[in-house]
Amino acid sequence: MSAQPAIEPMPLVPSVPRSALESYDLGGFWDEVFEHPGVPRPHYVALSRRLATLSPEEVEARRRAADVSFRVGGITFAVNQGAEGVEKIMPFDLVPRVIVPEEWDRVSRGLEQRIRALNLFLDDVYHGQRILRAGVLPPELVLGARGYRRELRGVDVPLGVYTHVMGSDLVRDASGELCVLEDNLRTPSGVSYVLENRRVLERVWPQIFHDYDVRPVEGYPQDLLEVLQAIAPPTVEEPVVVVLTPGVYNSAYFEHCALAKAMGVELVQGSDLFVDDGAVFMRTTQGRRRVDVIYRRIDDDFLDPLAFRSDSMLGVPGLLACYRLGRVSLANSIGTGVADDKAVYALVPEIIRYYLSEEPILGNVPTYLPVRRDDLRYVLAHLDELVVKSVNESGGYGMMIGPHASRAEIAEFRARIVADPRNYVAQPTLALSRHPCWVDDHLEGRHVDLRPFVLFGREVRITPGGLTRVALRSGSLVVNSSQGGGGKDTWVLARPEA
Amino acid sequence: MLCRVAEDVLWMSRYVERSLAVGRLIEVSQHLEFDEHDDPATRAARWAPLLAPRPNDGPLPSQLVDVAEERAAARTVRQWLAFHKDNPRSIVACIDRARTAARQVRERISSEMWESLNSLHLFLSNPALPDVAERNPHAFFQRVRNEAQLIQGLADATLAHDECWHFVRLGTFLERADNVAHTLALQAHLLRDDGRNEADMVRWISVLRSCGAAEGYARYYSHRVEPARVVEFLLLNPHFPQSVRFSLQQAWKSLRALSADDTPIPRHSASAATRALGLLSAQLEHATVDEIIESGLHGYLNDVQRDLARVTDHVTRIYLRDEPHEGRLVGVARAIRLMAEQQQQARRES
Repeated sequence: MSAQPAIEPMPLVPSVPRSALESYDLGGFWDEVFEHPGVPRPHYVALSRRLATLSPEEVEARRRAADVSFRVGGITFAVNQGAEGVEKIMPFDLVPRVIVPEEWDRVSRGLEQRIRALNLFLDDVYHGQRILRAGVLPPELVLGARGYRRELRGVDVPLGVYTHVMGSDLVRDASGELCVLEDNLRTPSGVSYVLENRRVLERVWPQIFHDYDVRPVEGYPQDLLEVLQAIAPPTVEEPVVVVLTPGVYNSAYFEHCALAKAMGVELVQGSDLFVDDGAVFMRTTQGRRRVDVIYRRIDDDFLDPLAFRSDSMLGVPGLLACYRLGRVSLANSIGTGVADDKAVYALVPEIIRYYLSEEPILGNVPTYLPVRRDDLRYVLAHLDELVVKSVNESGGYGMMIGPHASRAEIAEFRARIVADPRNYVAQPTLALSRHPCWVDDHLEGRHVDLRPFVLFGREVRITPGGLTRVALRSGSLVVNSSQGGGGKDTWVLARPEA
Repeated sequence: MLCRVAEDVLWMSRYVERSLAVGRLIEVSQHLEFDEHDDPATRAARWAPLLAPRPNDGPLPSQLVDVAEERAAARTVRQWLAFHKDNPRSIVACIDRARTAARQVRERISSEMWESLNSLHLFLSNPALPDVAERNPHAFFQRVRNEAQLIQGLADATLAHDECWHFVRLGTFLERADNVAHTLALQAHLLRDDGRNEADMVRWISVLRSCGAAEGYARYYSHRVEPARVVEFLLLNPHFPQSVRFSLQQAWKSLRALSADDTPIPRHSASAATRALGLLSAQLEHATVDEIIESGLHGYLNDVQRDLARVTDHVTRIYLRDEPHEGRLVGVARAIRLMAEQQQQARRES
């Protein structure tokens, strides 16, 4: 069994049993559980009471049961290690994160506002480009984004919806307000862990659910299926939906399977599909079968070797042409990358104001765009304080955290920013909030974020909660599973107080 | 059902069945050692046939060629048959392949099947296992057998008995017919003796055991073990699930169910697979054991295995490779590129 949570050097083992929370240190961070040392927030009182009485053996036993559950279920992700596809389980922390209804209400309203505005933005940049002509956004920033696909100019997509699945990353700012760190509008992953974390926690530690009224999450696949059916080409009565996966070596393969299975649709690979006479078919034992909607988990670049990367073996030749003709629907649409470009992100508040004439409900993290001269000067002078991200990478790749970076790394990023300012953004290093996690026999604070999943078809639907990702290494700010992050079950309460 | 998925389902099920056959062979041979108080020469004679190559097998690695010649080291042979990753028919390799195939189609099979297969795979990946199995072979082989049979039972109990299930059945029974025919062929030379001495009897009982058929035989004939009856039971019995005839009938039923579905495109060739299997099945249905033995058991069994290979070819061509495209057994270079692209995608998935 690999993939145990990273373990800190153990403090002196006390000879008498002590509470796992006894020496819990807030460390000066905004803590999800404790308002002040020893004083839990009202919705965490019942949970922390339970935590205080647990014996280390019991925790260990439950933790092991959870690991076995993930392992046997094959709920694993492949780690990028050359051709060796190593399967790992995502470390799972038993202590759930609890969100009160009032806060969730604000978050879900904010997310709905955001996904609506971003869709209007996408519709606009692929049609009339009003926002550019009005001078609200600089055209070169938008049209020069790597995710902008001129092939989509003038193409009408079903229901006018481009981003059917959005996974935005939320973090708390210094005041404790949840704000958006980044949007993921292409192929956001992680929702299967929302479902599995809940299932496993219910299995290995059912008792803790007694104190709370937790909103269920298992409706997600059905909601997703409804969205996918809703966007089928209008002439189709009973649409055939498929999930398109890159294959078993993809780190999210488990998720692709789990979603296809829960929706009862075929999980296909590029080689299972072909285009004939302007339509997409799959090869089945009963001959060819028409495909109407593709929930694709393959990036634009690889989707169609005739249109994009010609060396792609994962895609379907001719798919783009069918899509442009409206003969097959894709979720998400092609070309949504322009709206989650990290430089465009900085301007989302403007986008919300422009299209909806509303103030953003969820704030943004302050972001510097080196492509602007003033910002560039500031960024170069403060590299050791800032987080620098490449606009096109995700998953914790291509970034530098100034306070944790070596001189050489800082020098390297300085050169890269100067050479290609459009390709970078910088943000102040955030003091992400922390949540208690099991480390050996006691609880320690670890930084967390939150990725809710937003669906958009005929209406917006948001699964309560989302994936709470944990930076398991002490002091680390990186929560990505590819970088040693773990997960927690996330509870949205049905009623105000437990 | 996707062709690729159907192919993986079929092979998943074949590999599970194959692991059962291999496990039984090892277990029974080990038993014989105890029963017959082997001297080293007979001991090697016992294990050597198990190393006989099957079609498409590569050459034996040198350490095993030596074993076969030196007539010693039963343990090495056992380890090769049960655990060696280089042996494509070892139990570990079979379960590994079955699991790889299942992983490709896990959205199609039931979670129960996937979890059982995955836990068997995890159990077998314990590096200390070969030693454990030497110390307590019975417990080991029994566990592997139980879990493999659990997977088969789960297929019946948790899948809808539709197309996917029929491919599972097809895989299981084609493989079983092939394995039983092979096990019989290994022992066919014994028929040349008069078959009356005690050692031979033990051997024929062991043939029954290798096919999981000792109890079934006893109940059916309620008579001492006789070579011709063993052959008859394993080859021609219409009711016993381990017999070749029974297996062929089941496979034929599934194949007919598969081809009877309303096909949007008429495929005349669909009948080629059904016809070949139907012919073979009918042949066994109307054969008598005396005629078979008279005409030469070994040759007969070879023909059965050859015909089975043909059926598999037909099925692959007609159902699993609907349109000409590169097969699933991709070349090494292509596989590596695919892996790299899929992983690259992982970096882009946010």
